[in-house]
Amino acid sequence: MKHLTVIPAYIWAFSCTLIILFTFMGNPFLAKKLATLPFMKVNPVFSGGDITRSYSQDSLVITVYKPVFESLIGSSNHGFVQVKLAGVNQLPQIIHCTIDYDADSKADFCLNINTASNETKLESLNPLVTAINVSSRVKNYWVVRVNLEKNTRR
Amino acid sequence: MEIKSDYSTTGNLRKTLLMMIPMLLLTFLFISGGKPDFSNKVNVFAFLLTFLFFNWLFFMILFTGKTNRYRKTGFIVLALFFSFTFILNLIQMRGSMTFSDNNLLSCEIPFCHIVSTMVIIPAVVTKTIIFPGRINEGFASISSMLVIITGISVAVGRGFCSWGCFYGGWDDGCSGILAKPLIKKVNPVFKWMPFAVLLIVALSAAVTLSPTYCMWLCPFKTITEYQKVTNLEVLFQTIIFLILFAGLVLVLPILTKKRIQCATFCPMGALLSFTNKVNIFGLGIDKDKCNNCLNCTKVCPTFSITAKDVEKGKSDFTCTKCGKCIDACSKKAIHYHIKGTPVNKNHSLNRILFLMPSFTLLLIFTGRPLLNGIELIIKLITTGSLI
Amino acid sequence: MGYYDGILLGLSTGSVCLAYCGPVLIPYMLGENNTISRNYLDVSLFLAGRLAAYIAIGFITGVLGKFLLQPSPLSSMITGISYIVLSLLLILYGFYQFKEVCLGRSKSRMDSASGKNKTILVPLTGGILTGLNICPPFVLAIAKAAALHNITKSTVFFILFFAGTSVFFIPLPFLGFFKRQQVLRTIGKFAAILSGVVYLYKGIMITFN
Repeated sequence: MKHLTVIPAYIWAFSCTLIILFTFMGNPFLAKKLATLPFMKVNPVFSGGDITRSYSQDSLVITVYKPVFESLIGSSNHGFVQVKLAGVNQLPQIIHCTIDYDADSKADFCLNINTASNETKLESLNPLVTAINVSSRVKNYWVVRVNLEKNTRR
Repeated sequence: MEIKSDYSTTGNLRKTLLMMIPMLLLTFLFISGGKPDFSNKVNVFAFLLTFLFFNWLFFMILFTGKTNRYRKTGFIVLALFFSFTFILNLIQMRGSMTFSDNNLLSCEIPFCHIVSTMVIIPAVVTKTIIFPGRINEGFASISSMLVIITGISVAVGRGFCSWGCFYGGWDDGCSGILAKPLIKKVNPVFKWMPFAVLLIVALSAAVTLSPTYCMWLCPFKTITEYQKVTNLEVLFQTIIFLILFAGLVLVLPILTKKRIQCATFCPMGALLSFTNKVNIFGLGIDKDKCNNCLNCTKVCPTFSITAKDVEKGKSDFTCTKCGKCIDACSKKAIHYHIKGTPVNKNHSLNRILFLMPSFTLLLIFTGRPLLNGIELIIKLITTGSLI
Repeated sequence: MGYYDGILLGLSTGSVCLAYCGPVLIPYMLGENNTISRNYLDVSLFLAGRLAAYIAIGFITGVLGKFLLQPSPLSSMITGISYIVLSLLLILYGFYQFKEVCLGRSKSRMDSASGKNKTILVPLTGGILTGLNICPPFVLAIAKAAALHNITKSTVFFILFFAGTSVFFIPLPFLGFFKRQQVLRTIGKFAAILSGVVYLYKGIMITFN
C-alpha cells in the first residue's frame, strides 16, 4: 500500500518545478484568463462606479458616474457619487459647474474648484448631498467624489 | 521503496556540476527575460555578476550540503535589491515614495501578495476585488499576482516565506546580525498571533470593503510606498507602520535572532501555513538518528519545531522550509521530506526535488531586481546619479 | 459598516467560546457509541439553543436601543465611552487567564434544567446557557447592538454574532479538536486583543468626533 503513494508523490514533487515555471512563464496567458472571471473587477468604492452619462457644459466635459452605496451585504446608507471634469481643450484653472447626479432635472450640487491651488468648495442643493470625499487632479482631468446619503424615503 | 541511485551531491563535484545544468539554463533565461541585452559593458557586467552569483549560490547549496546559509544570502539580496529598485522606480515615476489621491483614483497601486488575504471574502460575496489596482495591466496587476500566489502555494506552500517573499529577507537578515540573542527566551505562543491577525484583517476588510492591513498595519510600507500624509488619520497610520517596522522587522529580530515579523505577525504567513497542509514538501525527522538535543528547536526562526514536533518526527505546519534546522542538526536527522514517502530514505533525492522549485522561485524574484540594481549602482558610481 | 460587523466580533472571539465551553459540553453530549449523524444532531441542537438565546438578547437589546436610547449627541458619547470601556475589558480578557464560568459547564445545572428527558434537551439547554455566557465580547456586542436603535438590526446583529461564534463549532466532529483546543484558545485571545484595539479606536472616534 505504501508503494502506491511513493511514485505519485515523486511525480507530484517533480511537477512542482514545472508548476513554478508555468506560473511565471505562462503568467500573461494565465492572468488574461483569470481576468475574465466574474469577480475580477475592481470594487466601485475604488473604481468610482459605472459611467451613467457624459455631457458638455460651457468649456467642460462632465462625466457623471453611478452613485456608489457599496456594502458587503446589501447596500450602505452612506455612499458617494464620482464626477469627472475635463476641459474641452485643457483643464481650466477655475471650474464652476452644477451637477445633477440622478438625472431628475434638478441640480443637486455646485462645485467651485481652483485647480491651481487645489481648493474645492461644495454647495449642496440636495439634502442627500453632504460633503466632499476627495477632489484631485488625475492626469488631464479632475475627479471629485461627493458623499451622499441614501434616499430611503421612496 | 528506496530509489537505488545515490543523488547526494555533497562533496561530489561531478554530480554537483551535473545538477547545475538545468539551473544554469534557468538563470540565463530568467535574468535575461529571454532577451539578453549585451549592448554595453554595464549590461554585460551586471548580467555576468548576477548569473555567477546565483549559480555560485546553487553550487554551494549542492556541494556543501548546507541550505540555510546560502539561501539566506540570496534572500537578503532579494529584500535589499527589490526595495532599492522599487523605490527608485517610484521616484522616477512619481517623484517620491508616496502615493496620493490621484494614484488611488486611477487605481494604479501595485497588488502585493499580502492583499490576497483580504480580498477572498469580498470576492466571494460581492464578486469584486477590494483594491485600487489594475486588473490585468502594468506592474503587479491583480490577476498576474493572484496567479503567482496560487502557483507558489501549490508548489512550495509556506516555503514562499523563506524562498520568495521580497519582505522576509529584511527580518531574516536582521535576525542574523548578532552572534547570540540578547533576548534568549521568546514565548512560542506568539507564533499563533498571525492567525488572529489573519482573522481580524480578513473580516475587517470584508466589512469595511477596504484593505485594512495595508492601510493600518503593514510595516513594509516603510521600504516600498505609503500614502502621502494629508490628514490626522493617515498620520496615525504612518506612525503605526513605522513603529511596526522598527520593532518587528529591525529591533526584535536583532535581539532575539528570530524572524519576529514573519513568525508572529504576517497574515500571509498564516494563510500559507494552511497550504503547507496539502503541499507535497515537508520536513521529516529521522527518530533513529535523532538524539533529542533539541538544537533544532532553538535555531528555528519561526517557532515551527518544538520538542513535541521532534517526538512526532516532523515540523509544524507553520514551517517555512528555510533549512536552518537541517543545517544545525549534528546527527543529520532532519531532512526535506516528500509526503507519502518513507521518512528515513532517499534524502538526497528529496532535497533536490525541493531545491529545484524553491531555488527557481528565489531566482525569479531576485534575478531582475539584482540585475537592475547592479546597473543602477554602476550608474551612480560613474555618473553620480541614480536617475 | 453596520450591523454585520457582528460577524467580525463573533469570529474574533468564537474560538475562545469553543475552547472554554466545548471540552465540557461536547463530550458530555456526544458520549460514546454515537453515530456521526447523531453527533451532528447534538451539535445542531446545541447551536439552535445558542441561536435562540442570541435572538432573544438581540430583540431585547433592540427594544432598549430603540425606545430608551434615542439617537443624540449624548447617546453617541455614551456609546463611544462604553466602546472604550468594553474594548479595554476585551483587551484585558485577551491578556489574562480569566476563569470565567461558562454557564453550560455545570453538569448539575444542565441535569436540573433538562429534567428527565436528556436526549434532546441536554444539548439544547447547553446551547442556551452558553449563549447567555457573560463575557466582554458579549457585552460589547450588546453595546453595539443597542447603538443601532433598531430592533430588526439589533436582532440581525446578534444572529450574525452567533454565526461568527458558531463557525468554530461546525466542523467539530472531524477536526481532531481536542489536540488543538489550546491553540484555538490562544488564537481567540490574540483575536480578542486585536478586536479590542479596533473597538477602542472606534470608541475614541465616536466619542470625540
